Order: sequence, then C-alpha cells, then structure tokens
Amino acid sequence: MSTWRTGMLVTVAAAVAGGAGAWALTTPGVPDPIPVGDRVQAAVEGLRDSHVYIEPAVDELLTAEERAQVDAAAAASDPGVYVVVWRPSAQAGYYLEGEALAQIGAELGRPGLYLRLDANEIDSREVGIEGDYLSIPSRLDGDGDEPAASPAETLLSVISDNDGREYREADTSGSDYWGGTGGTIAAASLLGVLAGMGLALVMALGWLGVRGGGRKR
Amino acid sequence: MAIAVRTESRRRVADGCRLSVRVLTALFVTFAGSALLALVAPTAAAQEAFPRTIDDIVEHLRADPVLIQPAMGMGDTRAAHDLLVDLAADVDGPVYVVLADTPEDLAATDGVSEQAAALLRSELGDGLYFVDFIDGPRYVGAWGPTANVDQRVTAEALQYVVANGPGEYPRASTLLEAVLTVRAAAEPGEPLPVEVVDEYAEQPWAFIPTEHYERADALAGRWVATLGTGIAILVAGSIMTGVVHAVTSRTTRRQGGSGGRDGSRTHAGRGTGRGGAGKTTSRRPEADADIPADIADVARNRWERARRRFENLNARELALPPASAAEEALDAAERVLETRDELDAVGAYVLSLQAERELRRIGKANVPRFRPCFINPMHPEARETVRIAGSTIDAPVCPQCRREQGSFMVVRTRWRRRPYVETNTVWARTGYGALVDNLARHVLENRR
Repeated sequence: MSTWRTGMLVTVAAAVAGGAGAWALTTPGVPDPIPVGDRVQAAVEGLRDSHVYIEPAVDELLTAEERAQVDAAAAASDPGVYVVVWRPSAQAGYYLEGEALAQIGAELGRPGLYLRLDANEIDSREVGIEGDYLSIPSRLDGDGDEPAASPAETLLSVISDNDGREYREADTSGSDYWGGTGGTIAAASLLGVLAGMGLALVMALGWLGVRGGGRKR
Repeated sequence: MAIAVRTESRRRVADGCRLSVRVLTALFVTFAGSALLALVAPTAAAQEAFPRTIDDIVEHLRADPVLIQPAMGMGDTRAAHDLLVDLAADVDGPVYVVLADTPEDLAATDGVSEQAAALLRSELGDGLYFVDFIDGPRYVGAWGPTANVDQRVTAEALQYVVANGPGEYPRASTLLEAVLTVRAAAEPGEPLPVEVVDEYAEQPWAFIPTEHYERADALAGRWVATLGTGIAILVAGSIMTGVVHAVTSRTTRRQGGSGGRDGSRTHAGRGTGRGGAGKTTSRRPEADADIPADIADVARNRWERARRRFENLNARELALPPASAAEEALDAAERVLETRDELDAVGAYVLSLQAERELRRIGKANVPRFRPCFINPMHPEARETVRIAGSTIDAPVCPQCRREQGSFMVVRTRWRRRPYVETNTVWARTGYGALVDNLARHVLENRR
C-alpha cells in the first residue's frame, strides 16, 4: 500500500475518531432543552385564533375595542405580529420574556414579530424571520424626554412601523455567538485548518526529530 | 262498580300527568341550571385563578390554602400546587402559600409580600405564611403552632442546593424555596435530609432556566468542536502524509548515493543522482539488504573465536604489528558488542573479521587486510573497487556487488527502514572500514 493511501486512510480514521471524541466530550456541557410551561402554553392556545393574548390578571390593560383594533392591525401586518400581554416574571419556567416569546413562536409555528408588553415595558422577538431593523421602545412609561404612551397606542405604532418592512424567513433558533449554521461551519473550518497546520508543524518537527535522533549514535 | 273503575282510571291518568310535569320540570331546571353554570363558570374560574385583591386572595385561601398562578408556577402550576398541598398536610398547623401576581390594592406599596402576609393573618389567623408576588421580595412568617419553624434550615438547604446547582450562576426558584420551607416545617428543629433536598433540586422547576442561547451556543459549540477537530486532524494528517511521502521519496532516490550525510567525512562527497559521472554497474533488488536477525549472536561468536586465537599467541607473535592491529580491532569490537544496536553488532562482526585477518597476517606479509563490501558489510570480502551506482564514489565491493550492485544494508528504526549510509554514525562515515584504513581506531575514538 502506498504511503499516500496509508497516510490518508489513517488520517480519515483519526479524524472520525477525533470528531466523535470531541462530540462526546462536549455533550455533557449542553444544557437540556427548556420545557414549555403552562403560562407559555396558555399563550400559545390563545394565539391560535387571535393575534392578541391577554393574561386574565392584566386584562384591564386593553379595552375590548383596543384589543379588537390591535388584533386587526396585527393580523393585517406583514410580517405578522403576535402580541402577548402579561407582566414579566422570572418564576414562570423560562429565562426572560424574550425566551418566552421564542417558545411561543416555536410552538405556534408561525413566523413573525412577537411582542410582550405590560403597563411599563415591551419586549420583542423575531421568530422564524430576519427583517430590517425596527425601532421598538423598551418602555411605555415615558423614558427620558419621551412622553408616556398607552399600551394600545404603543402596539399600534409598532405594528404600523413593522408592516411592509423587508424580511425573509430564517431559522432564528441557532446560535448568535457562532453566527448561525453558516458561521458555525465557517468557524469550525477556520479553527480546524489553523489548528491542523499547527498540529502538522508539531508532528513534523517531532517526527523529524525522532528520525534524526535515531541516526545519532 | 263502573263508577269506581272510572274514578280509579282518572286518578291514574292524573298521577301520570303530574309525574310527567315533574319530570319535565326537573329536566328544564337541570338544563337551565347547567346552561347558567356554563355561562358563569368560566368567569368564576378565571377570577379564582387570578385573584386581583387581598380580599380575593383571602377568599381563595379559605377554600384552598395554596394559591399559585402560572406567572409564579415555574411551568407547571398544577403540579406545584398539588405538591405544596401534600407537604402542608404534614405540618402541625395551618400553612398558607401565595405565589401570585401582585394584588392591585397593594401594588403601590413597599414590602408588598410582608404587608400581604399581615393582612392575610388578620383574616385567616396564625399559621405559616409563605408569600411572594411577581414584584417580590418574598416573605415568610410563622405564628401560633408553627412559630417554632426555623427558617435557617431552609436557608442552609438553599445554600447547599445553589452551591451544587447547574450552570455557572444557578438561581433557585421561589417555588423550590417554598417547598423546602413547608417541608422543613413538617419537622421543626430537624435539618432537611440531604437526599430529600437533592430530589427536589433535581426537579425541572427547582432552578430558573438558563437562557435559550446558552443551549443554542452549546449545541453550535459542540459542532464547532466536532468539525474543527475532524478538520484539524484531516489537515494535519494530509500535511504529514505529504511530508512523509516527500522525505521517503527523497531517501529512496538517494539510496546508493553519497555514502553518508556528510560527504566530507566519508571522503566521498555528495552523490550526483541518477546518471552521475563515472562508469557504474546496474543495481540489484533489495533482497539481501536486511541485517540478519541473529547478528548479535553471530558477532559475539566471531569475536570470541578471534579472541581465543589472539590469547594463544606467544610473546614473539604479540610483539608484531598485526597482533597489535588485531588487539585494537578486538578492543573496538568489544566496545560495541553489548549496545544491542544492530549497526554496532554488524560493526563488531566486521571488526572481529578484521582481527582474525590480522592474526592470519602474522608472519605472512602477502595476506591482504580485510576490507568489507561497502554496499553491505555482511557480504563477502571486497575484492574490487567500483563506482557506486548513482554517485561519484569509488568504493570496494564484493564480487556479487561488482557484477550487480544491490541496495545498501538497511537498518530498522522506529518509523521506517533506511540505508545504513543514511545514518549519522561512525559506520556510515567509514563504510564499516571500506572507506578508511583503520576502522578500529575510528570506532575507539568515537566511543571514548
């Protein structure tokens, strides 16, 4: 068997083994998926037939008329808008409100802009889409010089700004740190090539050293 | 009689009609009641699920001492409620747990949980109160039969749980704290068993979940590590394969070449490659290039035989120059005999042959000195000097190599086989004596 064939066979086998080893070593560090809790599930059920879900504890935030207005505007918007009205909580089985919106969007299976608001704050998350930048105020209670706005006014304003902006459907469940699927592959390739060259240098020097050392008697 | 029969008949008809009316009335009432309940029940259930004021909470706690709303239920409000109800049943005294949205009538106040607990106690009486709202902070108070509940037990358990929790910064949920508090109240003064605490800590509601992106990043990181490792090994292996192939190819081309890495020390200079100057002979395949496996034994037997013959010399013979040369060769051979090195063993063998030849030359000046075959010192003695194939070297070779040059004797190393002339040894520099007049002296100087 030629040097090339032997070397490449050994290399491929070692690469597969090394990859499997890296997978096994890094798997324990992957957190378990966060289960969908009952608060999120209630919102999912509420949004199946509407674009607005209001938790009973805060149903006074929107009047029936305002709710109908927001629902109609959200349904007509492109990309679509889904609104959840409840107070933020760290004890509801998810990390932050944005995570709850991501869970709702994933469970609902409808890409679009998901909003969460109460009397004071508003959170947003694009689920399944990547769109042009949209300015969304983080607070409703008059942050700085801005006047306070009602929840309905804020929602209608955001929905209006959202309607018609450029967007494309995309997988938004990936890692921002590594830059999605493409970034992950690019990072792995770059790191792999650089590390491989370094490893090859060390191996070559070691091999030549051993080979040379074998000659010195 | 006939009248009596008719009267009885009328009475039965009348009874039947009354029964029918009653049944219809009952059905109507049942239907109407059900419809009314169906209209009213959702609203009532919703209000029960989301009490808005302290009075609402009091009413709820009168019927059910545990109030947990989805905003505080860690994803499974029903299970949390049932667990706390079960734990509270084991406590000697009333237990009230409130994990809910902030009551409207207390929203603008400070210390809302503590104030709520005080108001609840004034309505419901003494007991253990665990109260926390979305706006926090939570409040735990114990009065009456549960006054001896030691909250330090819960604090110690929480400290233990957090210290052993998942992730970099684990945060215990309020629900876990409530569970540990009520569980500790069942056995006042006793520390919570570690196994019990561990069991609660393993539940999905025990800790505030980590960010979704931590999992996404970890999943992507796993792919980066896996692909990166595989690619790194592929790149390194490909480069190494190329390096090994290039070095091996170069060595193969140089076989039969310079007679050593340092041409000046071998008195031969660099080879000129294939088609070099001078007349050359053809090459034989590498059939007999390996060093015999029993070379160490062969060399030792040869050395011992020569040594015995040397020790039988008389005083006059010992004074002659060939005897001195033989003694020097035997000393050099002994020096390299025990190194367990193949090249050294061959050297000991050649030096022993040279010693024997010197012993034969005592008193016989016409006997030539022993000169090994440069191609392979294990070959028979060299008879002629020829141009080594692919080089500019003229060196003594055995008759067979004179007719058809074979490959140089090869030595096995850890990684590969290579010609002895490619090694950086005294043997390569001297060609085992084929290129120098006094091999023994070179060896003794080399091994001082």
